[in-house]
Amino acid sequence: MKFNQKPQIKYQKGIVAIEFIFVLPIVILVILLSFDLSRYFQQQGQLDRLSYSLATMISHRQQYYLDSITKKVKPLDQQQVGELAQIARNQLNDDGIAINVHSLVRNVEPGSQSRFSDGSAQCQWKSSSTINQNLPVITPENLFKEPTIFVVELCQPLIGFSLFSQFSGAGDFTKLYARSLTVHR
Amino acid sequence: MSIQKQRGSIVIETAIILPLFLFLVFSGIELARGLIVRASLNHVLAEAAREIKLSPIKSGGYQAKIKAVMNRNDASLLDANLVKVVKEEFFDSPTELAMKSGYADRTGLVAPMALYRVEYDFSTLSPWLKTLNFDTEILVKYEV
Repeated sequence: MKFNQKPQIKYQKGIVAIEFIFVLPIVILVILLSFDLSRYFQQQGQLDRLSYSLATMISHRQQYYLDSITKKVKPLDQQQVGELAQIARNQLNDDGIAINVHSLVRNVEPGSQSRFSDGSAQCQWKSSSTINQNLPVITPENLFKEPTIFVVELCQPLIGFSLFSQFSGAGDFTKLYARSLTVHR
Repeated sequence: MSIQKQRGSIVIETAIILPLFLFLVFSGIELARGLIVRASLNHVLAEAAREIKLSPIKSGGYQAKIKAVMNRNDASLLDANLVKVVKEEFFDSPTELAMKSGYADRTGLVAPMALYRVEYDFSTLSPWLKTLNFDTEILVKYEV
């Protein structure tokens, strides 16, 4: 069998370049998307670690928040939460960080709850009462063994164009969120 | 005539495109490698932080603790000799931490917290990157 190669070769002029032009945008897009995602993973990891550190700090409150006169541990207040927010902002070099701390005191009748926030970003997972309702019920014999529960939420706004939000369909992908729950030590 | 004119055209086009293609491929490999290194490093630092907060280690002990954790666990692609603790600062309360007024040593602190800055530099396979530098800060609340 004899093939006529002439016309085929003629039309192959520049074929590699043309195919590469089609493939190049996709390859670049995949690489940029990977960089974008890796950045989010890194930021999310930092935020998770930080929320855990802040929760640990607030759970050791008998070491940090003692009333000098009564020698009793002060309840959670706005000043303490403001300090935690400042620590988070210093750590991540981002003034847009918002914090939300829930304090659930269940060993009193009736149980009390409070919430303090600092920062402008909307950063609330659930209301304090909903979190409280979702926790296991305390039996009367365990009532006085139940420690105060603290939930620390951190939000970091995402600034700039996000390839991930464009392609994942996550239109509300505007912030990163981390949450840690701890008990009063 | 046209065959003679086109002779070697694919070779020339490949020669033009190949460097760009290799650049993209190696960048992808470096990205993947960097992600693995960062994930391993984060894991090792968190593990070391959990250990150090339960030990009465004095100032300067965190680097040794990280290396010990690395030597015990076979962390992917990590070289224990490349980890450097470049800064350590101690605080006695959240207020001091928020004000960034720390101490160089934890001696005498009642409820010490430490802020460690860790750097990890490693050389890459790609000649255009040469080295990658990861630095991260970790906050430890001592329990002992």
